Amino acid sequence: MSLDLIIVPDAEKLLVDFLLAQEEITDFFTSGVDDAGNAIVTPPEDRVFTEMPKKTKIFPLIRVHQYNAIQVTSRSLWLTRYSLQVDVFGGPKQTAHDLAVTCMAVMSSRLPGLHDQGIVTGVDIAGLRPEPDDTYTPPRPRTIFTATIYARPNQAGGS
Amino acid sequence: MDPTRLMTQPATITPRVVAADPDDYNDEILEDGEPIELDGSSGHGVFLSQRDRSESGDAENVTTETWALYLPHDIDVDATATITVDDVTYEFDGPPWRAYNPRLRRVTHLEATVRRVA
Repeated sequence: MSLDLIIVPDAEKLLVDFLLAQEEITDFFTSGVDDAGNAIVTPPEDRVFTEMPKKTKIFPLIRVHQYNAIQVTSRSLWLTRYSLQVDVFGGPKQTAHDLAVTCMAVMSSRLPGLHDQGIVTGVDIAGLRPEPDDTYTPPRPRTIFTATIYARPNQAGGS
Repeated sequence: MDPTRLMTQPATITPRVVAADPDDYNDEILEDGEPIELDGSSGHGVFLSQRDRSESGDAENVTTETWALYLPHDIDVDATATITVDDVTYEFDGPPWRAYNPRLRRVTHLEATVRRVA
């Protein structure tokens, strides 16, 4: 990659990697149930994705979705404001809620700083709401919140 | 309708299996599994019947076809598979239905919806 190119961070990957590295998050994944509600004996403990698994959905799980990114400085392609939605699927409704607020807590307190994908300079969390996924019958418990992440490339040359 | 006598077309079903490692986003990667060859003989074939076809009127000019697919009952296949018939590949649209015949008191075949977008 040429040194004169500025590559903005991949916020989805940054957030997935960050959440998977948090013990308080992966503690929720030591147990799990499949689509039919059957308990999984040894579930995978890395259930943070950007797409719902097609074959092996084990709940609870987290899906991260970036829906916008805007440059916030006059110097283009440096500091970027990312808008992301975090969907937290239960388990029971209580698990969806508890996992969501745990995500909010670790993101708020630990996400700012240096990451492989870039440097996070600020995090705003907003909009916590229960919104069961009615694709399923009965609807599957899901808690959603949104996050605004300010991040810049992890390379020299910026403001 | 009992379509089992009509299931005479050869086909290749390609199941999709989960790759050992996820992608950079920790998302599941599906890759082609071992193909299942149906030679069309003695109940080991398929029958396709077109259900819908359409064409977009815009510059993209995309054609879409939806077909009903009938296949043998002993095939292990799910909604992620593809099937190739006469060199044309179709995607499964939803999980197949194990069609139970109440008179024979057994599952006689599978029914599925498949789509092709070109």
